[in-house]
Amino acid sequence: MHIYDTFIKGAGYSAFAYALTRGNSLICESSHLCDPHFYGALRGFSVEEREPQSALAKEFYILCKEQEILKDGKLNVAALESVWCYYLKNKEYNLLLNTECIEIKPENGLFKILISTNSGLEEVYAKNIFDTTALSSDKKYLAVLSTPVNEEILRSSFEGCVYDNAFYENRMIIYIPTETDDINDAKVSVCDKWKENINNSQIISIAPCFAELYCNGFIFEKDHYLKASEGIFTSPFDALEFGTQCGGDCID
Amino acid sequence: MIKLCYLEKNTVKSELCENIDFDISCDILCVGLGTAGVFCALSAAREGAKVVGVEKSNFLGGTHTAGNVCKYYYGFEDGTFQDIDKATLEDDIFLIKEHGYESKHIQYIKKFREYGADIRFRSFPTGLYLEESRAIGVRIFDGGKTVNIRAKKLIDGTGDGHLIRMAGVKTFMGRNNDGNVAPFTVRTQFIEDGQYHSINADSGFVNQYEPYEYSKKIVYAHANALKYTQNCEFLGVASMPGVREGISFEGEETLCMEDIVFQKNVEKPLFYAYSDFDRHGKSTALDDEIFQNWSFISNLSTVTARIAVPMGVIVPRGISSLVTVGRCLSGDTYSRSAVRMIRDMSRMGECVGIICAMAAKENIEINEVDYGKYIETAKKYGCFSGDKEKTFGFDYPGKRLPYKPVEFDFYKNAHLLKTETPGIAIWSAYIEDGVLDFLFEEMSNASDALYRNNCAIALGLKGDKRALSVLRDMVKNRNNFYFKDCRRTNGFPSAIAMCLLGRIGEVSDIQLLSEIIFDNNEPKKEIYQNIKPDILFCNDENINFLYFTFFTYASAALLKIYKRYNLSTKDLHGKFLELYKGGEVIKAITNEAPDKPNHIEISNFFKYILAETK
Repeated sequence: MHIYDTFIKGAGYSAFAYALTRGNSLICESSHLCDPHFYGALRGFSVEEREPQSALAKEFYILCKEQEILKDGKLNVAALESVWCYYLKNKEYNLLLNTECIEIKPENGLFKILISTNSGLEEVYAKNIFDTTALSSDKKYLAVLSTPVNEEILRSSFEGCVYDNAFYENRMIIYIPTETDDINDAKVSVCDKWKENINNSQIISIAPCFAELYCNGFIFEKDHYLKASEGIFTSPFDALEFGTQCGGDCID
Repeated sequence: MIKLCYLEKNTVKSELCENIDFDISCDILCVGLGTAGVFCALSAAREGAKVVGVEKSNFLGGTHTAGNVCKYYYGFEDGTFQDIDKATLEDDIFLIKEHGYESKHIQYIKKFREYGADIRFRSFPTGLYLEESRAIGVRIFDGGKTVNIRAKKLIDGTGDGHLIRMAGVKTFMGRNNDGNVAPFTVRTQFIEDGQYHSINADSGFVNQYEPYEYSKKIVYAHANALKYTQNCEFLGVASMPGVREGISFEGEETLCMEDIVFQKNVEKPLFYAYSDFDRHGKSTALDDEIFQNWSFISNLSTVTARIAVPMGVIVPRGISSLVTVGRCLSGDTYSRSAVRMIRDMSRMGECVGIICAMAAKENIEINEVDYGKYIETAKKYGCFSGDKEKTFGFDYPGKRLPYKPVEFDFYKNAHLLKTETPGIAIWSAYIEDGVLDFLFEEMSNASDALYRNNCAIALGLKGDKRALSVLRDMVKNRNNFYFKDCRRTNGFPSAIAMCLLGRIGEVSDIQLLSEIIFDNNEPKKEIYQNIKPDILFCNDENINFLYFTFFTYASAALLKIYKRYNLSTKDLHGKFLELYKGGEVIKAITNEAPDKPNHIEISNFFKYILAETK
């Protein structure tokens, strides 16, 4: 029986940084993306351009600059996952995409984790848990990438929305708060309102992940279980720094 | 007695259940709401069935929406998919109009609301309940909790055969020779000069049932999208990969390439597909003979076929009340590749939904449904279209226009043997009796090399050894000429001759084939140099496609001769091993890194040859 040092829930930047720093970890992600929190949720278009401290975050930061997806304080979030995968290509890590974590329970001083993959159910064991997913109580937003919208109309159409210029010219990213936990209800509602109220602007895409824009910032660590949602970070580089730090500082 | 069956690392496990309290009961439970599943659940609900739909992702439509495989859009018209398309096109809030995945998804949700189906997202099956051999329900992991759903009819729309595998039905993957499946793809989307584009990047073979390998391959594939991130407005990679080929299983009936091309009568078609047998991957030397005969030797990949898909291909043998919908059906790899296109999958889904709703209503199996009534209903909605079309048609290179009928009448087509587009004549000869002497005479008397070679190919395809001397000359004088009547897999007559030498050649041909494989100077020859990428045969600059084709066809032919004459392959194995380890052949074929598709294809080929010669 192989025992991982850490089972990591969610394949965000902090998850990979943790795994690459610490080794012997298994990252488990329900979607097909290695970046569900930024590219997947279309968030993080504006970032402060400052070189990170940790070697890993710095390396990726430089790669993003080289690939010109980071410039003038704007991050090309649409391209971020591809650049991240390029970075990951030759690294050593254990990853399961399209995999659901069904149950985590303590057993004989370890965690027994039941996962569901395309090959069926599988039990894995780990000494520690690093859970990067959001809390269910976090407020959900739908992220819409669009052509420019009149701000007044936008505010009156979608109460509480937050918007920003996206990476490319004449592109806007709009985070629309929703009352429902159902991404599809939210999509239909947003599309209907868009049709009613907004002229001369079109939706380019809606984020595939239904994410929290700002997490509760809830981090806790108890009995080898570290909970820190990637959603607390507004920059992937900060998430990398955090993951590196957590991976370096033993949570046991 | 009820038992719960589930998969654990690809192994079926089961446990007996004393009492099961099902949380939900319904007529139809459709697990997987992809291209086919979404129409299946919709049409069953429209027929008045109480439907529960379960989808693992947050998206409806699977590969053709979340996977963004949206442009491969030809085939028979009619069916509810057209209503969805029309509404999608008319939805002016989205920038991307035609086949816009986001807009289409919204249309699906609205349709489900209209029909009143219970759709559950982020839900997936973790077990199947069987009562004797009858499937009666599914254990679902739904939003963090387990839910047991009982249904009169269970439909496996996962594409991966999740329920089928849980039921313990015998399954198959890939082609016969080496088990390889069609490569998966990752779609990259961008806007350039104001126009929306999505690029199909074939990303190599992947065993989707090995989750660690599968995950790593997705990372590699997404990394390859990097080249599109500059010089355009990059919109991202699709949120799920496009897996072309699902698993096959032992069904009540089977769909085979052979049955399609020889027009086997299908008593009760479920629906009609329309196909150009679009199969991806460059390594065709290990394809089954029947597929090679059609696609490479006869070069007919622009000829489309109407395919009658038998009803029994969705019914797993020995299990009742469980059927599949979508790319997972009982059939060989080629026929499954042939019927997996968007329109076909949509219409298939609609047909399966209709017949399952009818079966659930009367509590019978789908093969007991009044077939006439089924056809009547399916025709009413248009999803049974295509039944009046001619079986074979011609699809213009690259255009995918509605086909104009093709007749495989040898004497009407024989004149084509004198042209650079002889495919229809070669195939006509292949299926016609009593033409051997005619072909031999023509070959012997031909003053024109093209005509002589084409006659030899037609003769060799029929297994006539009188073609050997010309075929040998074609191999000796190998060149880069290719037939012109094909969209993708243009047959190189030289490689065709190698292939036929493998089938009908003799021990004396070993030396000729060995030169192509083992002579270090072979890849340096002029014919392999400076070949401009040509969309008609291979527009991939990362591979010397001609050398790859000659090397693989000559190797496969050599192996066939060794086997046919029961020769020891010990020395041959050593020579191939040396070539593989030396790496020079691979370098001559592709400059790609080992994780890239072309490198993987040639490595896989070597592995097959090494395994077969050991």
